[in-house]
Amino acid sequence: MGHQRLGKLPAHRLLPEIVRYLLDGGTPTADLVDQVTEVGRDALRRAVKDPVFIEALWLLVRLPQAAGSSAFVDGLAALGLKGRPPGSLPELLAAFDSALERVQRRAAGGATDLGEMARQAALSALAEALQPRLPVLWQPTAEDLRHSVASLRSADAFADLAQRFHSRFVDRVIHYFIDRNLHRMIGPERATKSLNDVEAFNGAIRRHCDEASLIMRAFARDWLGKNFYRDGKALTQDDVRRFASYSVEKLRIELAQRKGTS
Amino acid sequence: MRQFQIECGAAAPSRPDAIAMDVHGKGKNVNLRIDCITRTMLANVPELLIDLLEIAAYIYCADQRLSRGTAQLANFGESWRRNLHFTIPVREPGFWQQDEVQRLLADTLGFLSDDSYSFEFRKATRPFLSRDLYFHDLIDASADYDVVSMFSGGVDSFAGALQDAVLRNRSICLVGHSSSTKVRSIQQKLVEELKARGLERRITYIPVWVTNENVRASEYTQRTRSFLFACLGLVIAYMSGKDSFTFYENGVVSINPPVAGDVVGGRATRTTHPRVFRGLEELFSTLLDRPITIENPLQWLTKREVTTLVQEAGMAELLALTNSCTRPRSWTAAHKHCGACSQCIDRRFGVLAAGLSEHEPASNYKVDLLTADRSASDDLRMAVSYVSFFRRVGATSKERFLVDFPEIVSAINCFPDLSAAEAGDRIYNLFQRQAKAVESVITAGLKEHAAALFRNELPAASLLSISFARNSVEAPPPANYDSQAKAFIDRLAAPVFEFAIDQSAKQVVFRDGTTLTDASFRIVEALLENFRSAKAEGREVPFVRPPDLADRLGITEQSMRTQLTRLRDAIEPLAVSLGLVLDQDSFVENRPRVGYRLNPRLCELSLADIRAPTPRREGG
Repeated sequence: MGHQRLGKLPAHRLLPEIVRYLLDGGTPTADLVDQVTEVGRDALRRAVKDPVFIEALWLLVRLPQAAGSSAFVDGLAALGLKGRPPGSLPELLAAFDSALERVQRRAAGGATDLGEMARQAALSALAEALQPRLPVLWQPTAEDLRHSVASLRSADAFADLAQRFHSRFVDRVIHYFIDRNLHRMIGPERATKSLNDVEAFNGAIRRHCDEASLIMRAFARDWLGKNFYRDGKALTQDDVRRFASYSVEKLRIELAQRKGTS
Repeated sequence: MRQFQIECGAAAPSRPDAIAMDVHGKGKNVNLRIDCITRTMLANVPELLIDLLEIAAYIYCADQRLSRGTAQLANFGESWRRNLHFTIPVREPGFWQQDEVQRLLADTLGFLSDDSYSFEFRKATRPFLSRDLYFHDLIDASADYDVVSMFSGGVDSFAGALQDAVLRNRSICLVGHSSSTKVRSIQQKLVEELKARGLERRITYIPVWVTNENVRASEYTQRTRSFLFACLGLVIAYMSGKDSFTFYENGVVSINPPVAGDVVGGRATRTTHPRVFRGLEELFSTLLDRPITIENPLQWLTKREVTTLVQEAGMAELLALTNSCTRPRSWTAAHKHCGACSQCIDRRFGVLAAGLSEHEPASNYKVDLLTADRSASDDLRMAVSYVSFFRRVGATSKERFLVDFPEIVSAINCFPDLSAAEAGDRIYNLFQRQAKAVESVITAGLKEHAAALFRNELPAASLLSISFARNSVEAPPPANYDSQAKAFIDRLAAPVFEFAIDQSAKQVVFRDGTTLTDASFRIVEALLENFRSAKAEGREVPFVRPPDLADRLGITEQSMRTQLTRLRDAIEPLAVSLGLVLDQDSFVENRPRVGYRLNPRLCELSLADIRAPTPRREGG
């Protein structure tokens, strides 16, 4: 997976080009590019220490494994998902959300907005990965849902889930910064800004995050393949923290590479 | 997260990092006052509810005194969340000290405000002033109401009150909390107008004051306001013999998902979020030992639909007297709405979508919704975020709704009569109707101002201009671009851990240029012969016993283990640079009670090969 082996990943647009959406006609964008890149890199550096970020990633690893085991209910309880087995995707998401919120509340000393962004990114990634795996010709039953969740336990499926999670997280972090400064970027002085342009920009940022996070996709697959399937490890939050410290570092390097001139 | 100690019932703090708060006495700095209740009602209030009122007043006033940091949100908003520890004297400590009660308080307030709460309740050691002192202007009227409702003076609470009083012929007690005289005068004016229109016997108004006194309230976010409001509602409902009371809020604002990326967690206000109502119901039911319900009859209505209720009740001419603006300090005689805050924008969209613009002139707003120049300050930001958000909602399928708006999830299991899936569907439909209302206002505005737009007479920073302009036309990438990018990565086989030996420089070399030298090299060198010969002969790589390896290295076993730890640390960066999944046995493998060997999965290359450009590896 390494940058060493891949060289440059595909990039529909590099960040300077994307940021130009927000500033008129190609005027200097370097500062904003630097800021957007740095806020993403800084967030990732801090995120690996955030208990909600780690718990979210851990649940994304363990929930499919619990769904694939014969003791699903006990498995869910062990992960902090309380109540009866979920009968629908919304019920599963609500239980997942509550489990993360409890961790967020317990982290009284160090809770920041990063934990909240990780929580929403994980919900989004899980819902997006599960939606196409549910039956479409009939109303999914609880058993259908369990099977769909269990199908995410393969190393390839986890790679996809982990990539979505990291991508949504960085996307939220970038908007956390950009949206606060929107009033300085849109308006007559900026000459070109409009609702349509902002939406095109948002789409380009989303793609930027999806593409940048591709870099950790294969690592995620290999990590789960080695630790769970080859070595039979029951993965703990500490294991996930170690995984995150590498995958996040890959993503930070990729973000830095994408701030180069296009 | 900043820590705060709040010592209540004290004239002065006992320690320098604490603040003192008191509802009476010489250190009084919290003002709690409820007007116009009947003498009969007052006689019925148990001590526990007076405790609750005081606790709510302390929490609300402390919320305003303790800063959440600046709008810069340094370090990802670490100052936004506060850790608040209250010490409060109460009349019934046995109840308040229960773990379950404290959990309910901390959980509900935590979700409402993003803060972390803890409490220490102690028995009041000095006599409290008579409860009567909280209640002013007692009256002798009947206290027999059908409904007890919270009344802010905005469109939603006014429309809800009309729905109950006019459309359903119910008598209603409106509890109005205000921290500003401007807001209170609006509530009073609306009540007077309703009474003047024949509702004298159906409307009762109980104004309530809870404010900081003699201290500066610097934090305006007031996330705990609805906790105070609900506690007041419970007390008045109890006094009136009711087990329920009502908040009026349209469903979209009640759930209130963030419209912009910087509005994270509780910064999108959760004042009337269904989750807050369910938490408060649980707390209040525990408090009174019987089921208490908080109702929101407008939960499944949009702002447009709520506004239409005002017309259905035949009171459209009073619409302009209601006020929804969150910035009372900016109000002038001519403009009672700033037109820039989220509430003003939401209200104006609702009024226009309901076709009631004739009952609320545009001049009520300092900034016109569609045609005003919003380039000043950040006026444009909220308007653009709001429209952009609902445009996105409108373009979202039901299947994608929870994917793209995951903040909705915290509401879907908060409706006791609905499953999470049913609630999700209803919320989706609600938001779709709101998105259509926003679109209808924009498209109607386009028709009305088409000529001005064509002549370029509207300000470039007006919402209408901004909605239709386009600076750049983005050509999307090919449809299979994303799947190809993923497939490209997924075809990669797991990387092989490769190394080479540079015998002349006495170092181990890896693909990314990392090297192992000195003691680390010597360990590898000591294990290399076994590795090479076993690989050459196709047999298992043998382990070297720890004392034998230490012997080969000429050091003690303990020193050898230290050097092995350093070696493992030295190769750790390879996980990032080469994408290798490493554990402690990935390079030098240790089998307990057997010994050490170079991991058989390693692949030794020649020095020239390891330094050659990286070949691309693609799997099957």
